[in-house]
Amino acid sequence: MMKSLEGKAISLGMIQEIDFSLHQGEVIALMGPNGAGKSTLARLLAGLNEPTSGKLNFLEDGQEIPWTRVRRWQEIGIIGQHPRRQTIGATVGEELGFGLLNLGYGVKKVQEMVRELAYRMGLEGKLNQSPATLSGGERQRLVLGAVLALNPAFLLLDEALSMLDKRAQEACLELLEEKGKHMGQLWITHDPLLAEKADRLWVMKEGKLLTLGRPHTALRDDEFCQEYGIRAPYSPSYSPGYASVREKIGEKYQRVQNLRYPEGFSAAAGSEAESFFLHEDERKDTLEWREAEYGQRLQLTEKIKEGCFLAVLGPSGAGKSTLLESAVGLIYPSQGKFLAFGQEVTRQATQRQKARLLLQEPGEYIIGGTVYDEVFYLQNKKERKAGVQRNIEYLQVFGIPQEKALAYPEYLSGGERQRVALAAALESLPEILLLDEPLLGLDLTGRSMMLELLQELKGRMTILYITHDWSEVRELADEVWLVEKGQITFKRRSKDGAIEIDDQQLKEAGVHC
Amino acid sequence: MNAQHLAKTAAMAALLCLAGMIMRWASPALVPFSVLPIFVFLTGLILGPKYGSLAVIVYVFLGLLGLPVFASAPFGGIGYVLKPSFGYLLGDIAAAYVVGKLYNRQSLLSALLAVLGGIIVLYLIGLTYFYLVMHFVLQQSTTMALVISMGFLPFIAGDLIKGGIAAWVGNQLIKRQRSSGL
Amino acid sequence: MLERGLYHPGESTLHQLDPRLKIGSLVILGLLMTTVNWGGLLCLTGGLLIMLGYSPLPIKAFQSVIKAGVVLGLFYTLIMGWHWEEGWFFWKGYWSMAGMLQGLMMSWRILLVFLLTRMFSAFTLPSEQGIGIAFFLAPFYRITPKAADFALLITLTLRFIPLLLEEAALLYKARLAKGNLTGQWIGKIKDLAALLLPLLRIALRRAEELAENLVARGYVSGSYRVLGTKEWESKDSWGVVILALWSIGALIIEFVL
Ligand SMILES: Nc1ncnc2c1ncn2[C@@H]1O[C@H](COP(=O)(O)OP(=O)(O)OP(=O)(O)O)[C@@H](O)[C@H]1O
Ligand SMILES: Nc1ncnc2c1ncn2[C@@H]1O[C@H](COP(=O)(O)OP(=O)(O)OP(=O)(O)O)[C@@H](O)[C@H]1O
Ligand SMILES: [Mg+2]
Ligand SMILES: [Mg+2]
Repeated sequence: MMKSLEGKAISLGMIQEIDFSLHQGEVIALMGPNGAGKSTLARLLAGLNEPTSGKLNFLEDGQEIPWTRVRRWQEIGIIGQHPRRQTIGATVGEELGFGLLNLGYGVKKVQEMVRELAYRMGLEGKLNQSPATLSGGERQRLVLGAVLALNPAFLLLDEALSMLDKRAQEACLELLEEKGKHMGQLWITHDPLLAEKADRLWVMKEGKLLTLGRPHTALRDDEFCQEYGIRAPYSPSYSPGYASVREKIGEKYQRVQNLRYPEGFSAAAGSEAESFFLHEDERKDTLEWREAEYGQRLQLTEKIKEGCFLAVLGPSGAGKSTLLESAVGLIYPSQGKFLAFGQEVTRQATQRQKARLLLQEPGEYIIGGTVYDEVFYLQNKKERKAGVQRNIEYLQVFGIPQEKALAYPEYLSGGERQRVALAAALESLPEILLLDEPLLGLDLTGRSMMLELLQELKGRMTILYITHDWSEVRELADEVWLVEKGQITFKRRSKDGAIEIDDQQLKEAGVHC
Repeated sequence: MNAQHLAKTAAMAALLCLAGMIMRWASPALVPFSVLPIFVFLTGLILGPKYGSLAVIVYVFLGLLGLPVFASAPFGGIGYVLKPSFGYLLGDIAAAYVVGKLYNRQSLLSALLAVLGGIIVLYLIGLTYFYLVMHFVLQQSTTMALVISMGFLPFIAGDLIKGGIAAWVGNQLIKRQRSSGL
Repeated sequence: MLERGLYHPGESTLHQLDPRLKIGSLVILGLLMTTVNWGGLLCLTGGLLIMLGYSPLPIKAFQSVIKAGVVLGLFYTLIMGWHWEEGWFFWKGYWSMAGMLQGLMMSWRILLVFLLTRMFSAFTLPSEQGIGIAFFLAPFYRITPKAADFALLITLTLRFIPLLLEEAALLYKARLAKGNLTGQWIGKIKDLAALLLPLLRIALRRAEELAENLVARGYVSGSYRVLGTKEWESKDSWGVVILALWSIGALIIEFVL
């Protein structure tokens, strides 16, 4: 028996009159720029939203079955863009077993299955932990496991493998393939390498859906990719041509730089481009950990120099986010010391004002009422009134159009929220910028914007950059740390602007290269 | 009961529990007064009369069962009904209902009036219960003056302020839900 | 601050007892503690101390509870010890021994209830609490299907408490990540108040999402059934026996002796 999902002239919000069909046993990759309506489509398929017009049918061997006769939750599993929002259990074990109990299995059996599942998802030993304390990647695997356990006929993955390191991703793909024969899968992704593994490719842009054949052919076509704003697998990691970011932000920071260092070392350096770069021995230590311990999660003794671009790599659950949280002073060492700008950081210290953290899944932490409020939080009423034009332009630099400025952040798409969070972090002119997987969920233009921006900011402030993908920062990094199991196992400084790293070692640690 | 109403009622009931507990688990210096009334009024404003009062009922039920969710000692248990101040919890249920009933989901003014109505009901029930318990359970000689000086005057100003906060916040929230079309 | 969990993870007997038994004991013991007088209280205290001795909970966990209990106790003793005649003039009064004793008893009760609930929440996950309560509501299902909804509502509420605590902690983190809180007392309160609106928004949105997730994982409204995660074991039966003996003992001491 083969089940299919079929959409006819469906519209909802962004989506306009699209037709498609999805069959059991095939894997479809869905790509497209931010805000194209991909997540909306996934929610629609899962029945979380109803289409405003058009019809979605469920077919068995070509026969239409009315939805009233289908146990929708059992047939269609969805893993959303934000796994934090999808956990319901108080512990990992409960979370994994929740659906199984609803399926009617006995308690003993469920316990057994949960243990097996936890092992497959690499979550063994975490069964009694609260899902809230898991790392981003672990949470993603948890939700994947919980939904896979129900053996749905269709599985919708909305960027659900994005926070995983290479090894965890491979393990998950293996599991998906194993189940894949009886499962129709839809992978929403911005990663062309992942999309290539699918059977068919769908591309979405501004609410329109383009159904294509095998991903290879389309993804090889650079022009096509450019046009639809998707990343091609083998072209350079970012395309230049987002120069406005460099100009705008560069100008802004030039002003700040002049204020911060009024006597200016630019005169000494001569040429303008050189002006921000302090000499190696002139640099002070911005952050320093002295035998600092954060429970089992992280132990380290390190220094970071002013203006350094530090890339932090490591497998999922290694303690990378913990490192950033400690650097911004959200958590305090249980032992040892942590110093910022030469002063020990305590609960009362004020160094936080100089550092800004872009959290993992930043979209989930937006406090402001509107996009505008969120980004220009620190401006008072008068400043806001006077600077409306400038503010709007500032937002546009980050790819947030004017009509979205007054939108409610919680209704933006994942990538749009990521941009808002980034704009908000940079608006406050930090001296230390802490980025936790900042490219997550960004499309082609978003990525190039981000990377251009980093090129420009590099050297003007201390930047800590967490990623699973070494190729993102290969050209940028001054220093690399590899974190594994809460320890720094490997580090390297650049010499004369280049970093020599044995890719093999990174690969072994599960870093994408 | 549909899943949405159910989950929203549960969420507000949980917020009430947290509001009751915050005095104990956070340091009192952080929140130097009970924030429960704010949440009771908000519950009424947001959920409407039926589900609003249901959320408060759940809260009171959990407290009476013995879970430590009430704001003042002994924090839970059936014995709580013997406390003179239990009437305010009953009053909270009625208040949430009245607030939800009076609020038209449009203007701040209506929210303020609704909350005012809620406060009146709250004190009517609370003070009556107070009097009855003092008189019949604790068998202390009580006068209206005593009841008012102990159960009304010290709290009314604070409750009016809290009501104002709740009305403003609740109205903001409803306004936004309306304009996002959800 | 907000993350401080009440639950104490572990595998002790107290953890493993059936949630139904735990809820039952909480209700019965709580009821006794708030109604009996000196003799009964003594008996209950003895039992509780024995239980405390066997529990793997470190003394530190009780610190705040005991502190709060002592402060409240003092307060009650003073309030109830001061006796004044009718009217507004409460400063025209005298200290009465009987009142003081009453206050003392009240404080004792409070402390006992504190300890009991502290232990209960240290060994029982919110989800288990929900299961326990829902079980006792089960007989009412036959009278009205609303009871099933109410039971579900209770379990959901208990599920939400830690969830919202996490959200609050996250909001606080996000707020900190955007800039320092002002040091002053007034400023602090203002800042916290400014978090109220986002907290509510998030709570309601989480509710929507929770509803979605529940439906997506097979919850059907109205036909809720209790999902026991543990099976009834012999130690649970022994627990019932001990509980019965203990409470009857307390009552005998109170009313017969
Ligand atoms: N509930 C809503 N109300 C109003 N607008 C919405 C709502 N949900 C989404 N949108 C808008 O619809 C558009 C499509 O959003 P969607 O989340 O589907 O994008 P997406 O393709 O998943 O993008 P991304 O790659 O960034 O995740 C966005 O511009 C968003 O602002
Ligand atoms: N509050 C907490 N209590 C206990 N353990 C925690 C807590 N927070 C995080 N952990 C654990 O610490 C480890 C490190 O988490 P962290 O978030 O730093 O990982 P990460 O390196 O950022 O991983 P990812 O790449 O998946 O985001 C994880 O195994 C996580 O389960
Ligand atoms: Mg999306
Ligand atoms: Mg992380």
